[in-house]
Amino acid sequence: MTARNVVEIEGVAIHLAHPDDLPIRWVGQSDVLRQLLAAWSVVDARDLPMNPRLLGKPGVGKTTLAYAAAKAIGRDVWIFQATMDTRPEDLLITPVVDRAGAIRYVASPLVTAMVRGGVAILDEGNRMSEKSWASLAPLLDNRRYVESIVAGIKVRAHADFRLVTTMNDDASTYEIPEYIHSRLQPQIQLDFPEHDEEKAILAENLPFSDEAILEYVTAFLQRAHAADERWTARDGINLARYALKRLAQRGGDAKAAVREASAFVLGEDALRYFGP
Amino acid sequence: MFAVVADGIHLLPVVHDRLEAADAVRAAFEALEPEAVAVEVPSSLGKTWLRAVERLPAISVLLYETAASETIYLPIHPADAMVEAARGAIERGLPLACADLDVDGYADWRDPVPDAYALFRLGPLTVWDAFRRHPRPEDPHDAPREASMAFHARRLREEGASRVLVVCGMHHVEGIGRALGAELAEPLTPPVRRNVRLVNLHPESVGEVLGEVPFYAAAYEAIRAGLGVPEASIPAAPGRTYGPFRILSGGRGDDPERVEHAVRRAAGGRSPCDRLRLQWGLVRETERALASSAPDERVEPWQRRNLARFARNLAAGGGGLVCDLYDLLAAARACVTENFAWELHRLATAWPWQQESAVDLPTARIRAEEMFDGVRRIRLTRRRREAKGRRPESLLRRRRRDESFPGEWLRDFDGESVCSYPPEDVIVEAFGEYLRRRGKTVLREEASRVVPFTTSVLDGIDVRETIRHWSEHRIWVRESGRVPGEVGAVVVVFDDARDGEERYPFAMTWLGEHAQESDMAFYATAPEQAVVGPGICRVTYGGFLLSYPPGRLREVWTDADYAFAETRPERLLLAALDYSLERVVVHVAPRPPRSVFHQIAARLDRKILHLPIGTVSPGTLRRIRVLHVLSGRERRDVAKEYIW
Repeated sequence: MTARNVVEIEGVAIHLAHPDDLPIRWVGQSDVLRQLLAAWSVVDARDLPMNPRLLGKPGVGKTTLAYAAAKAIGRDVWIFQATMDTRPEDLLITPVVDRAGAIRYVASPLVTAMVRGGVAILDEGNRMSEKSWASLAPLLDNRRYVESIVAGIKVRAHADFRLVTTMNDDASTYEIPEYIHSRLQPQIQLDFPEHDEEKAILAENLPFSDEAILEYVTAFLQRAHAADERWTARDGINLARYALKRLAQRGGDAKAAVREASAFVLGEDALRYFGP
Repeated sequence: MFAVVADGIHLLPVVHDRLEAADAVRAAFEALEPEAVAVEVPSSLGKTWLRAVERLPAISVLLYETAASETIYLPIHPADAMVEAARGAIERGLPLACADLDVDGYADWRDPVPDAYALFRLGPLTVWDAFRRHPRPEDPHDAPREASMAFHARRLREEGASRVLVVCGMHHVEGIGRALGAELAEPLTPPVRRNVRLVNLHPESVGEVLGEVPFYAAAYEAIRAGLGVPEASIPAAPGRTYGPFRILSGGRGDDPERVEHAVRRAAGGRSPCDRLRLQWGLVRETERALASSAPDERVEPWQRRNLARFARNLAAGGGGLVCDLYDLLAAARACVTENFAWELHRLATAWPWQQESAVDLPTARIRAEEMFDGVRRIRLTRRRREAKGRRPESLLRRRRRDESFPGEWLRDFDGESVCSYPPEDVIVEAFGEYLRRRGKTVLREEASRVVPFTTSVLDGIDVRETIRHWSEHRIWVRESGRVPGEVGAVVVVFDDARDGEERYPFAMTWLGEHAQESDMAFYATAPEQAVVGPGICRVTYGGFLLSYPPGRLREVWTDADYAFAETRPERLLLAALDYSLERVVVHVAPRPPRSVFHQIAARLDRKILHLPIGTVSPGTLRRIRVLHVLSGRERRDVAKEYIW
């Protein structure tokens, strides 16, 4: 840990986290990217950014979009993975006992982004309890600070700090009360991509795949979307990747390999959406 | 106001298809009082185009084929500068020249003009000045077209008009100005274009083809026609009424009078039109429409504020001053709800003066790039195409179904029995279970405590608290609470307004259909006021009671034991205390019950646990609050297709 990663806030030394660096690129669906950037933009020095929420099925690309938006405005990114047992201090500042028996205060990725003026992605925010969300309430309105009871300090957000939370629309979620709900706006919905966009997403992730497999998997995904099934581009990537491995292993018919892979990756009930 | 004035000829620079430019034309008429008018419309289309202008406010579409066999279409609506100039001339009995040259293959230029809203704020000259600093590349057709417009303007002057008003696009002003200073020959253009057709536009296609948002264009027309704010208030709810029934179908059957009233209220009789005000008027009229058909869709003040902020940011991000319909819909969907966006789109694209058939013209439906005139399908090319991929309706994921013919859905009410839609029963049941769990958690947390260690470790060491107080060198221990009893009945009150009986006239007591389903008593909106499918009605709960196990609830709404209750929510709470087999009754409502209810509960050895409704996720409440009442069990098979 270098001194560069320690800041002093109200007389307390706080150790900061490292930013995330991911090799991902946003493909297609430029409109939702534009909406996210609009939510973050300010039109005046006295204006405040909004705290958008990205909604969509698992694997539709919410985190990728958030990361790409942050990179589009040239900011560092810190991702915080929320879980059912995320506590307020996990979100803010955690005390750690070091070898000497002294307490060291470690900032979460979120607080680090606040201090550095970066972008914080609160991933799977719907899994977090109301108590954890409550600790972020002042950050999400015009006060723009958090209070760490553990370290006994108030941390103010840098003017360039931006926040986005992603949420799955599945059932494994806590209830978010209205006072938090009203602060996490706008709610940008990521719908399933159109055929060409989805194919481009597959091609981006599987540049070594041949055209026929990409087309076959894309057609499957589009049929599944039309039937409002849960499978997303992520499932398509996993499916195609496994099929390609099987083909490399023993050759054979590409479509048959994809259908066989789908039984392992997605389950038998996906087979009905495959073409001949 | 005029960019060029030469020998009595006044050039007014405008942009097409924008009500601000049409307003500028009206102002030019007032200021100049011209004696003749020339517009940038090809002379060979003039006769047909003028016929369309005279049909206003009914909207027509002019179609013609180019030499390359492309069909070009041009919708004619009131909020266009050329149309306004023509109407101004016709109303004043002035000579009018369609002065443009008819050319094929003219590039579909996107002029780098500022947002048209700047015309309203700054006037045409300032906007034109900004436009001149960023000229677009020359098109070989420009010079002959500008010469043609100059020739016609000069001819009007020679025919005795002392003041000629020429209304033309920003890009052509300088070219026409130059041409006016030169020798001009009569332009060589065919007098009439062959294959020019005029069709009446089907009402459902208005939103597809108009260059301006129909709602704004209609507001412009209302102000132009001197229609003030309506005094009489007609129902704001969308849909079509048949006796006691109101059908809320997909996009058809909206009452034109309702749309006209909404337009007039939004326009407010103010001239010139302020697009920002109109936009806000559209939002408020959407709220009004939704509130009257679905109380669960009430828009909160914070949603309104967020919508305004997000719409502003989207506009600014795209280099605009006011956002377009696409971005307004995106903001409505993101800051309010999908249903709100749907209703907004329906109102924004309605045209109150359009008939499904016309005596003077054939009627055509136009969808995207294709026209169907009842006989054949024609591929179309727009004259001024909108940006690809920005079709507002693409934002609306769920399509709503329509009746095949008016009144179709009413045939499926047999009046024999009503039942619920099982997937909704499951959701409500799960919600009841969630509230029971949550109630226990709240009670447990209320009774638990963390204290410094003295003589007993109680229920274990609290590590977090110990570390927080590290400097004190003490250990902290936790004592878990003891819940005073299990949770039984659950009462949820969404709306406890005193006029609940008027707003929620539908009160019922339903028994669970199987062992896993609770009995339920509820009050809700009238089903016949929102028919959304064949024998399918959408109602909104005002409040309900869930009581488990099933099969025990007698008719709650007429039970004399509960006569003490002053309101329906109180009657539900009394019934909950009466029927609950467990000690704790959960009460979720905007306000806690009167203190006397706690005394009643204590006498029955019950405890009321009140949870403010604000602590429940608004998204969950919206999902829970809507119920579909089906006329007979056989409707359950098709209900999914009609539910929104």
